[in-house]
Amino acid sequence: MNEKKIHLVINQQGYDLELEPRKLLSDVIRDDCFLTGTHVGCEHGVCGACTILVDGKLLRSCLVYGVQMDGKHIETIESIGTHTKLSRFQQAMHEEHGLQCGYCTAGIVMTIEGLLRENPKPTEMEIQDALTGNLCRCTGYQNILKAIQRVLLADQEKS
Amino acid sequence: MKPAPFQYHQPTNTQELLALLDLYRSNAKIISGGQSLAPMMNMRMAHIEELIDINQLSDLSFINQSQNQVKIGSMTRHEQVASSEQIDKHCPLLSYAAGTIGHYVIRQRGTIGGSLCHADPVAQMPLIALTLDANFHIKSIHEERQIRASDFFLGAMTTCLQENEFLQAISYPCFSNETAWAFELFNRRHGDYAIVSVALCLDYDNNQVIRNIRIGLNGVSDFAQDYSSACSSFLNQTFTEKWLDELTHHLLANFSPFDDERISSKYRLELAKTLIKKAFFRANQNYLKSRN
Repeated sequence: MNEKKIHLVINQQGYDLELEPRKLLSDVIRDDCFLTGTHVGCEHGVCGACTILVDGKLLRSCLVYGVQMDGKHIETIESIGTHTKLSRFQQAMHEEHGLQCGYCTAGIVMTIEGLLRENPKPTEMEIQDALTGNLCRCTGYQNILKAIQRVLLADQEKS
Repeated sequence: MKPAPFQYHQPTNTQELLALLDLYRSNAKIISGGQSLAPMMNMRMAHIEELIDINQLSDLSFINQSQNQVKIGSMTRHEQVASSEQIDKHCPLLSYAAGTIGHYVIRQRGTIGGSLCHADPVAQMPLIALTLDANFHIKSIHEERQIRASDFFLGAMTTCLQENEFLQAISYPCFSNETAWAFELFNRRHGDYAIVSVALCLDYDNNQVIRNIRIGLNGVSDFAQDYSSACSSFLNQTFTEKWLDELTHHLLANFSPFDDERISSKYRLELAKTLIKKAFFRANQNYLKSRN
């Protein structure tokens, strides 16, 4: 067909890929790069489960095509924490019971990661505004908000 | 939720883009942020033959302010518009409205030009462009032209862009110190398209007399519409509740709201009435605050 060759970096590892243009980035990350931490929910930009960072900016990976990412630096949930060493927000999510089934969690962790990089001291309204883009059907969001507050409070105490 | 096959093009400068548009004509579609186009492609509501990705054209991403206007490149992301100090200072209605688009992650990627060219009937950017009488800078391989917002939009999802043209930039008039503004919207879920929204600018003179009104609404006809001319008989007066009641009543008679499966036209009118009054009160309050 009309495959295009691209090179991209995901979590500091380079990938040389040959992609059909219509392949969604979310599918490229999961099927071609075998990084299945990024979840796919609605595939039309509503649920936020596939949220990742591209060149430091938040992006829904189901709303771009893999071929658009030539030369880009991508960060996925695999770069945020490990099973033995959770990130601070992941640890707070654990302690505040911020997840149940966990399907949306990767997208939520990435969204908060991106938000805090742009805006290290978000207001309650800004946090809620950012979170509205991620659907969670288990928690009712309150515990996720508590988890974020736990991280912000720890930051405050440190400074 | 996978799109049909398409050919992908990634021009690296404007000349390449113009050549591609001229070659592929009606088969070509430009993608910038893709926050509306990609869902339509994924759901196969849009079948694109030749997809032209303009994300490499960084010279289309800029915010320039001159004496009396703010010019914004079409590839500028919503978040850049929303957080720009320059726009906040000179055209605050625009930056505020940009901050209400979709969700945080959507605003990081979606672009002002993309939203305008997509021309969703209830989106913020067409409404603001119409209300502020913005100027559209359009380019094709053969010519450049400028047109007003009211000539750019032909209706829902339809613009006057010819098949070999693209939107380069948009300019908005700068607000004066005597301009007060408000933007009100109502939706059932934060981040959804609004059911009704109101964009408003009031120009006062030194004696608190309202000399000019610019008002646009979404959701009360089949596309965003500027109703400023309907306010002409209410100019050169001061703000009172009675004046506002009469003005709102007069405006409502100009609307042609529609029923859909969830929202009746009657409800739209009620919302419009509430939001118009809210907008005027907010703008007037802000004006009074700025004078003290």
